[in-house]
Amino acid sequence: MRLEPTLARLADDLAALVALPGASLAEPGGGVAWARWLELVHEHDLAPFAGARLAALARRGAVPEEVAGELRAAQARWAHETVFRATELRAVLDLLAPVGGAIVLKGPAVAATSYDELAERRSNDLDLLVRDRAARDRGVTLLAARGYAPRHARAAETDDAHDLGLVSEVADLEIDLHVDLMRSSLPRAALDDLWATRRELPALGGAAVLDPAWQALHAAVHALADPIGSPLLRNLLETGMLVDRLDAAARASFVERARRFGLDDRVARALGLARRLFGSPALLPVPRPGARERWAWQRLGWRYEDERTVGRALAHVAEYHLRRLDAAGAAGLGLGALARTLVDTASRQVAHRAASVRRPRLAAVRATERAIGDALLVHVHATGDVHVLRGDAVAAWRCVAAQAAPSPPASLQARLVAAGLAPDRAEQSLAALVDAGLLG
Amino acid sequence: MDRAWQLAPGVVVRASRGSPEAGALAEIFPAFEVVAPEGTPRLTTHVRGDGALRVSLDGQALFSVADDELAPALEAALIGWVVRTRAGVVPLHASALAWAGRAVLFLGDKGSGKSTLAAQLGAALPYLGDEIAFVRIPDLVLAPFPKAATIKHGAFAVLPASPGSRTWRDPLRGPVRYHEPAVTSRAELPAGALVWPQWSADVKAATMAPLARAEVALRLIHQSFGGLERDPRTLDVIVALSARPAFELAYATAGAARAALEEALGPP
Repeated sequence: MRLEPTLARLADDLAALVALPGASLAEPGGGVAWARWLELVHEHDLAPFAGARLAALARRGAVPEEVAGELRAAQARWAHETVFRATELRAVLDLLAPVGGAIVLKGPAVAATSYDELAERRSNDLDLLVRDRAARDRGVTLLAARGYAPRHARAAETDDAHDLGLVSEVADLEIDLHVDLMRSSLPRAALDDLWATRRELPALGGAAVLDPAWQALHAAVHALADPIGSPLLRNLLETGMLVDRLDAAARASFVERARRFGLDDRVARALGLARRLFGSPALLPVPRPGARERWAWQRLGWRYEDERTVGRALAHVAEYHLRRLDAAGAAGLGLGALARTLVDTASRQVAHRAASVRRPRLAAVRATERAIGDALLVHVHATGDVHVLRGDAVAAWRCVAAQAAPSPPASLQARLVAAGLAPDRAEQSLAALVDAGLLG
Repeated sequence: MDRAWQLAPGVVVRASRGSPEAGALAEIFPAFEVVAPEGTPRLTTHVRGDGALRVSLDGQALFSVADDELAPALEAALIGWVVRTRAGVVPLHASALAWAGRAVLFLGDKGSGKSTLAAQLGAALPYLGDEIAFVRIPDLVLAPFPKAATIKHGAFAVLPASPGSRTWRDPLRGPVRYHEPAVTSRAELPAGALVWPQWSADVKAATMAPLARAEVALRLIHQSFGGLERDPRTLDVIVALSARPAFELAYATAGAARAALEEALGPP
């Protein structure tokens, strides 16, 4: 399947910006739909990078001023994060020194080894690898002193998680403490090998990172781990960059480790896609494309701006299909699993719709409220929205919030009428709460 | 020989005396200069082949900017660092002045005139800061952050450049200048009043329109960095702040604004 022309142009642009051979996907002389180009750049977390490389980008063809302005702004916004990110990483690594230290993974490590500067590579979390679960448990305690707490209350007790998310609301940052590089555990020998070969990176203040071959392996392992929800184009670009920049010895080590630790099939699939997009070396024989690569390729063309689009529904099916294949340890097309996923998804949708038509019930969403004069301030936890309620709406909210279980609207309305509201005002108040997203 | 600036507890940065980065930091944070402690992170810049300045921290390359973009980039990056390491406070997007032993906060969106008004009134009244106001939890005391006021292009005519200051280019805010008011204070004062200034040349007489509490609370939430999730006590602080006198101030000149403030709040 051919890529849409704008995506093809973007892939060629990205390859040129990082000196990869490129796959010449775009038709020569073809135009660029710049709004779509920009949408793809944002979707794949590439705006700060493109903003930092505007001059090189412009040498490939004129970039409209409004696009250039948006990219410059994105780069500036991310640049503003970098001092905090760099100092926080050091503070966290210092705190973790007593547990045997940590290896910096993904974002900050890739930014330091493969980009010109930190501001070129957006990353949401700080990913750190610690020795084992005992080190992680001690790390959780040490990081609590800096305001980091497990994202989920019971997560610290979940022993089988390969990473544990710790969040500081003040820092607005998540630290993922990994004990492994992937969900399906690496062999112990692989973990020993990557710890033994780690290196200190002066460009990252002397922090430990994976050696180049392991860093490329890790990128390849993760590139297709979540082909639907991840910044796939960037992840594949980085996989291609990291592999392309390995010297001959590191390439040999890459291939040898991939085979020795059973990563070759998974890694080769990612390298195959990266080669198809950016012309980067595959290093390993690329298997016949399975469901993961096919969904990844499909996904690149989807648009997410409207949840009701076919693309959104397909994304849902793809995620469930791939989860089924992961659970079965399968890497092929998985047509049987796809059929079951489609049937299950359709059945769930029908059951959900039928239930909501037959038995609509309303309950207050999780919220914090504070009286403020004659009004009530309601802060909805899930969305962060804050509403000011007055008069009947306050009475309606209190009535709904006081109930132990969801109730049908008619029953709530009856309760409001019993509390003294006229039937039409009771109905209007409940409708207003529903419209505001306070009842679900 | 280095110069250093301490912006908050544990937030110190240094730069080589005479370097562009030291010049920019001295212009933005004149009230924060300290003797450099050992081990303080060090900012450096070097000129890239294309003429841009690459900013690094202890050798780690962070970002590149044009020469005339350096100060706004450092300002935003360092304020971000302060906001994201300072616990126990509600950070609000505000300027502040001392007024009769209390802090008056000037709040509002970009371009509303709060920085310019604080800088103008700061010629005679103790200036407590611009861009960011840290309200301490739970006692509602303002921990001042008296960085130089950031004056945007629209206000260049009413607040002429200080000697030695330059005009910088900010990709997000447009041209800016830094202005250190004559009277700068580091006094910790209880938050006394909240004012949303709105400058307009068309205003004949300055007016102070009182705001309803719920409206004040919503506006404060809108102007708090990190929102209500940052600290579970933030909503309580905002509800308590909303009980303070709060006004929308429409004005054309700083003199008229001061007169209107005096009428509403009493003498400073």
